[in-house]
Amino acid sequence: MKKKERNLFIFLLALVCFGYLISAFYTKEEAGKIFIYVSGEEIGSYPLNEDRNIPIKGEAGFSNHLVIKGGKAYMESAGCPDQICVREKAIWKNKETIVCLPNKIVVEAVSEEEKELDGVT
Amino acid sequence: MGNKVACLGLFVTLALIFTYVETLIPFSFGVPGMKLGLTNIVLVLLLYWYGPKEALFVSILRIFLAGFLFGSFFGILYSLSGALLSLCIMTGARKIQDFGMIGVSILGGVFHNIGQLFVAMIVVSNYHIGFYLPALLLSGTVTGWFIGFLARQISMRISNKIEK
Repeated sequence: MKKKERNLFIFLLALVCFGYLISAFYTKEEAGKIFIYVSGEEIGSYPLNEDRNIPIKGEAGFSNHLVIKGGKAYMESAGCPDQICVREKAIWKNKETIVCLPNKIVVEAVSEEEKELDGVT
Repeated sequence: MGNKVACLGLFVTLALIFTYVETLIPFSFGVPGMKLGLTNIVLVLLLYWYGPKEALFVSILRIFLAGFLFGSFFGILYSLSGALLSLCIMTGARKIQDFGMIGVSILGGVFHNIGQLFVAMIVVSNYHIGFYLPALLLSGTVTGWFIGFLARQISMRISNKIEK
């Protein structure tokens, strides 16, 4: 690697570390609830401590199935060929998300504390 | 002229095969948009051997073909945003002195991910998915280095055999 390339590489890795520190600060708490958004609008919220199976009808018309099990939420199936959201890891910490782009669905985990703060502001 | 068109056709095919091979390699680690970026070997080489116009042509054709074959219409929009930003940045980066294929490829990888994430944020109207950025930056940097290294090795060996 040339000198400038090495500098770029080191700079980017430093940026990554910085980014991880910030996200670690936000995601350190366990989440108590998940919120489901379609096209940016909230369509429901569920506690993470009760197991359940939630069908979500998204913008593109097909349904995704979200499963809450053992305090974690994950997407069990999606009607699109991409299947990106199904491969995403289960969420259970504050601010973690699962995204389905074709259906414009975002599932977001939120800690109890965060929720109260939002209530104040 | 005829030879160049034939060569570019081969490059589209190669890029398409790389796209398919990539679907067989699980590399996303649960992060949406994370991938190896094998196709970028072809694009970096095209950028050096021919120029930005040819690279753009192959990139767009590849995305539409791959979208219709293996993905959805939505995947096309998403890939396109990453690919266009990445190609613009790579074209600029190529002109920087003392910057080789590795540096160009790293910037390409990083900005591909940034472009996609940005479009994703707009599409779902939720900026919290920005928390994927550190992971995507890391993967863009590391795979970009790897892809640039491969591209340079290939170029050193067969550059003189390519009909330009």
